Amino acid sequence: MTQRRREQLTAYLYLAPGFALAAVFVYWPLVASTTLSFYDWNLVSPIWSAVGWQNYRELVSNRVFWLALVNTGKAALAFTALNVIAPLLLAVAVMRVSSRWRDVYRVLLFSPTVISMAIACAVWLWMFHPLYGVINSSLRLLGIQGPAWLSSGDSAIWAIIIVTVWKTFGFNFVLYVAGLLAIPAEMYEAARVDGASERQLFRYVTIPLLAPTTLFVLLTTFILSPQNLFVPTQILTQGGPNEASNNLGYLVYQLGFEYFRIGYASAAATLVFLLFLGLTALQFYLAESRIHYGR
Amino acid sequence: MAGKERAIHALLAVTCLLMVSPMLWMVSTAVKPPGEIFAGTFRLWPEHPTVQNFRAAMTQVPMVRLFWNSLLVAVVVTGAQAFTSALAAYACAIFRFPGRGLCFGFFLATMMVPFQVTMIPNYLLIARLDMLNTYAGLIVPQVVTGYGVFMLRQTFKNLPGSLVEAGILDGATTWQILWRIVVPATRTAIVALCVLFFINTWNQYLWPLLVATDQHMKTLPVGMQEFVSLEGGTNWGPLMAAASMAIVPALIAYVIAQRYVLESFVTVGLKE
Repeated sequence: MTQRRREQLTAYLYLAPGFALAAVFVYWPLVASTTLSFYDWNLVSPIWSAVGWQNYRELVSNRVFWLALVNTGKAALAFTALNVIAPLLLAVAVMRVSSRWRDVYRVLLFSPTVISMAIACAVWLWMFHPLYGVINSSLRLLGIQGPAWLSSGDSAIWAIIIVTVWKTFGFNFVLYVAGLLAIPAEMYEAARVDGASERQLFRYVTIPLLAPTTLFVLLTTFILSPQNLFVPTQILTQGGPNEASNNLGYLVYQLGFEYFRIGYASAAATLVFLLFLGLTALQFYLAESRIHYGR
Repeated sequence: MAGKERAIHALLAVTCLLMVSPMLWMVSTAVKPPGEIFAGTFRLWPEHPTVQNFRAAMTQVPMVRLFWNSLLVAVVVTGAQAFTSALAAYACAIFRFPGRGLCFGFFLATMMVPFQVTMIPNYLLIARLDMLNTYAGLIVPQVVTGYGVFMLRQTFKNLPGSLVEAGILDGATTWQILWRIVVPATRTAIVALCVLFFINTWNQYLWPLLVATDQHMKTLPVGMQEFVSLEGGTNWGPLMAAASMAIVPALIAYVIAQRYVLESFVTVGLKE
């Protein structure tokens, strides 16, 4: 009895440091952010005024908020195609080549992941340069007049999406490769003995056994998307031209640290949190129902 | 069949080239003299390679100081994250106590909170504690990571139970069991995780951008942005030279440990 008591007490002691830090720097900010969202405050003034739902009302009637939401949605769709599905297909492809070549491809594809996004963005800023950038000078070789990537309202958000895809592709690819390596070879052999075609192997062995990896990739891709969009937005366009490339990751920063409207920015942050919480829950729900009742 | 394999190689090679091309272009610009940088034509290796951009990079921003700040922050954060993760993961994986699942969920759920949501209150807290432009301000808010607790708990759970029992029979304390048995037995996974922590912290941008506004407290990714839009336009040559130098530590860490990183993904799995 006392033995068990002591074990429990020891466990809590081991948990304490992480617990305290997470409480102070993750959970408390969540509460504080929600509280701040009901105030009007400019970061330096001693005056805080409670404004009720005013910040939220202003936000939903702000054109830029909806623009940021639409751009984040565009990014999410692009990420699903290019950072969730494409790495999966490429990981399946890389399993077909000899393990020596597989290592080479893996190292090269993962390399953008280890570079600082801010530094990479400085390089991309140069590559997107309308006159001297490598992208447009290569296009010119093909006889194509490239767009003014970052200063045109139509292409700016896509430039940001391209950079983000480039940066995060390799991580998901390696996760899939790891997931594929963990599938026992006997599973495929058994299915082959039963006369399954390549396509059926993919559909009925690979996809279901890879489901936990896919769920993890989906979740991290979506949850990290505001964060991943922030750096390219800040360095490449500052949300411009005329807010055309603004997104939820950048908007919170812009409202808080460029316009110094802390309460307003916190309202945006709170909405971002609720939105992503909802999406996460939805993904879990869909994944659960597929894994339990699907085929 | 051979044709199919060739098509796969072609697909992979083209994707790899696309992924690596920004790095190639960065180095290419870094060794070009100004005349060739603004030639507006496609040329990978310059006619007259030069190191003048590297020299300019070293003098235009305090590169050494920025490098040191980044290194110090990355090393301390990595060590501290590994330490707190190991302790919490140890408790969640080995001990039995009421609320164990709940505690694990508490750490896991921190991964669901986008950074944008916590950054304003954390900034205000650090400002109120007078820790803006200090190493503590850069480091302390990020020494706990749900990802670390998650990965290490999976690793520790995969250890054979007899290993820990042998320690108990020898009369070792739980603290000794952790450091003399559990950690050495899982060192590959721990090293891999530390490499990921190091790379992440080394590359961080938003938090240092908010906390370190003083030139001498900036980290490399933040300090380097000085080159962008200096008076008279961006200094592309020195900027690319600085970028080339700045990515070296993370690349070295990756090349050394890339095998372990993949192995730990495979063995830990992402089940549960």
